[in-house]
Amino acid sequence: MKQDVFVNCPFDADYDPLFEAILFCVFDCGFRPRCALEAVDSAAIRVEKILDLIGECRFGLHDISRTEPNAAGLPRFNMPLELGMFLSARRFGPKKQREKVALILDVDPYRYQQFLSDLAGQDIAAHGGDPRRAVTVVRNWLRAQDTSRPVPGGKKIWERFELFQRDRGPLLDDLQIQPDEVSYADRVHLIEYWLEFVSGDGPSPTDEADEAKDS
Amino acid sequence: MTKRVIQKAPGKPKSFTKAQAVAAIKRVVADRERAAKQETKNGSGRQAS
Repeated sequence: MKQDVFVNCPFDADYDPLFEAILFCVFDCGFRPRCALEAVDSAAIRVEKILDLIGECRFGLHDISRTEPNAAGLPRFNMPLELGMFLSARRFGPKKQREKVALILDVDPYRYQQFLSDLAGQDIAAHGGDPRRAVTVVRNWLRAQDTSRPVPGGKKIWERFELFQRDRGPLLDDLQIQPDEVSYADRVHLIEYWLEFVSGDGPSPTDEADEAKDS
Repeated sequence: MTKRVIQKAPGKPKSFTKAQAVAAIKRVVADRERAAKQETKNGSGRQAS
């Protein structure tokens, strides 16, 4: 739980560049992203699985920027709901849950006052819909949570992310996976393995155990 | 400097093993670096001529 970050954000195609950049940034800062997509293939009831995830994560990144109505004229409420669950866990949970820390993201820092004004007093930052800005905001926030180890600067993370983006297409080709076939597990493992490789880390002690489980 | 740590990704099943992914990463990164070196070499050649 210590390094797990609950990523509560939209999962649509428009948001995907921000989502990918945030996942990459969380890994590159030495933390582990967790999100509701882990629950997609699970037999567990989705809300129960999300509550379990929230319980397992000390940190929470909550993007409330998707307020526009969809084709049916309705907004997406999942993000505010999951933010409410996270804040409730912090408020009513046992000691471990009360250590939870949340960062709320939106396109601009004051827009929430028009649709979620009860959030006043929370830590709110703006990404302006820009993945590069999101990387800097998330990096600075994570840096403040753990000053005991090195965390690269936002510019360095962004440079690495651009390199990863360049490699991603050829990597999927090599692994014979079409872009629309990439699962959440594929996505996060590719980021983890790529970062581990470019960081020059050798196989970790748990690699062999992972491989045994894979095969 | 303290060694950086990359946390283990959550979630299964994935479409590849770690060994397959790392082998692919090695090939793709090597190709990219080779292409970059070639580009630099060609650029230097043009400047020299």
